[in-house]
Amino acid sequence: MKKLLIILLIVLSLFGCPRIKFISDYDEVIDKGTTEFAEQFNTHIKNMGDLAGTPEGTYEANLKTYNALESKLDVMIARASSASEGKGCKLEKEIYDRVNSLLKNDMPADIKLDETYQSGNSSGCNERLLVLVKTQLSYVKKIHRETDKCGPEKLSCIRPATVKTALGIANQSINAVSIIETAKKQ
Amino acid sequence: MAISAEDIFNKMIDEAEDAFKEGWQAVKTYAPAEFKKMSVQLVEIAENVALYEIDQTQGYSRKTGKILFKMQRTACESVLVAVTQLTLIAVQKALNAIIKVLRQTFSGIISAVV
Repeated sequence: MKKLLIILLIVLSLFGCPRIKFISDYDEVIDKGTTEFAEQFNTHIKNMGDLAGTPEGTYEANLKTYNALESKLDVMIARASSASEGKGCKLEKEIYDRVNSLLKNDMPADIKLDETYQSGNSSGCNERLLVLVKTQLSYVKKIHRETDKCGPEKLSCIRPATVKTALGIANQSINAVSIIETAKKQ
Repeated sequence: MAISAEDIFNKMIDEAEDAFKEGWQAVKTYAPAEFKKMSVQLVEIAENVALYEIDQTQGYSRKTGKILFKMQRTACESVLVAVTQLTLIAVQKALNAIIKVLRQTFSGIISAVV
């Protein structure tokens, strides 16, 4: 009888228990916003490849597009940040340790993972993923502004070869945001 | 009402397996594909820098290559965070499936007893 009561108590507590939640809810604004950003970013970079070496393809001529792309990301980052209450992204300890030990041996010292990965919560990972997309955008801007030069006048540009590699890499970061939102939705 | 522990166990396992399989499948498909892309892109960077050093109308400079390498490192971080999140989503779905089975199984007993 005592056992039955204990079982009943456990079961009753299950009925009052809300659904278990490790991750933040699906966010349609971030899902759609990321898709729109991906389209605009990909179109812009491909256009830059076609315009490389012309005045229309220089960094200065395209500053407004970069500002628009950056603003779009900032809005989504602010939204994700308020949802996570600024707690940051918690990478599971086992993964953190594994990655840390791998990177520590094979990569330069500055590649060490951010300490925020050891604390924080999983909903902060949305924000982190979006911040990483913004980091990719800033690297592309840097290439356009400083390192790629085209034509005899050495105009700032994005070289066609750079377009292919940069898009492949940046899209990995963009897809990481999309794949999580899609998985949450299912 | 007769309760078979084995029936409950089997139901829980079935539900959890179905829920987790779907989520785990996403991790299994996503992670290797992304790591493959990374390896291809790293080779691409090296090849394009080498091309540029032979002919400056081809490939891209070492400076651009360095930035692209940093971008790849950032993409690696994105993939790791996404894999962690996908795993959590799979675990969450499995646990909620188990709780659903328990609720369904015991709802009859509770209404009879309480």
